[in-house]
Amino acid sequence: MAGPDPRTLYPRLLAAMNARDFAAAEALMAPDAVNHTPIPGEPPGIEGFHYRMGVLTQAFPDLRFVTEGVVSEGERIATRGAIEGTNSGSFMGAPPTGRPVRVPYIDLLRFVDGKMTEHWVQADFVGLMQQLGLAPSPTA
Amino acid sequence: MSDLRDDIRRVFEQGIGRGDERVIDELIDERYINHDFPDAPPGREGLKQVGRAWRAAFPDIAFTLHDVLVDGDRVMTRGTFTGTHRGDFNGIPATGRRVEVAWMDMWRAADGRFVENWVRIDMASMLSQLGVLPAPAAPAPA
Repeated sequence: MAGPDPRTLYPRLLAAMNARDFAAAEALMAPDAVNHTPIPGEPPGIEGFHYRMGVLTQAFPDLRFVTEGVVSEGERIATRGAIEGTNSGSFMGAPPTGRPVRVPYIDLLRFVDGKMTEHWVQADFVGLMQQLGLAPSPTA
Repeated sequence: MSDLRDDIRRVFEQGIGRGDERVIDELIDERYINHDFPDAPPGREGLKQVGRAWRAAFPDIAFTLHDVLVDGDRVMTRGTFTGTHRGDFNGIPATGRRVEVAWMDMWRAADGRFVENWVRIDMASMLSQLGVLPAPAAPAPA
């Protein structure tokens, strides 16, 4: 494996994001890091990271990422976690609902020489829209 | 000791994808639960029922694993499934549309059988491909 173990790098990245220390988070990303699952409108690279964090922290200013499970092999680390926060800002053009949300996700990151080079996230986006009342809940 | 990387591939490709339920019997524990399908019965029977329901909705369903991570007794997969919507799916009548949907999941094994998993399916993309949700504002990720 090239560089430090992702098991030590990933918690540092998450801690930086939770502390809103975006300089520390950037230091853990390659400049041309690829996000394979961008949100609508997200540009590539580190600019995309700032765009995404801006959208999320505007909608959920008390946003925090919580890790609940880890699978790591070589350069790659996957985590099972959740985004938690309160919808006290506008999200996707809708006015704030004030509702608390919990969005489970699984992500997969590759680290090379101490920096994230690519990642994927699969979050329960439909569930989030339901929690905000922006999409109907299932009847079943 | 069986190789979890091979085992999970067989669960997806043979057990769920082709409905070879002997693979489910071999590789899934009696206590198995899927934390994200709370309505499915536990154990092997539950996963068999989930497989039958998905194959009834998408008879040509096929699973492709892009990444498999093995870490002790835990496995993570990232993949894509494809299929043609020819049967009722979660109350959505057959549309005849072809879908390509991404997932990521995590499994835990004990004594060579899978005991539990968590799964995140890109439902927003799937529902928009079926014509149920509006398409996202930006192009779908590659």
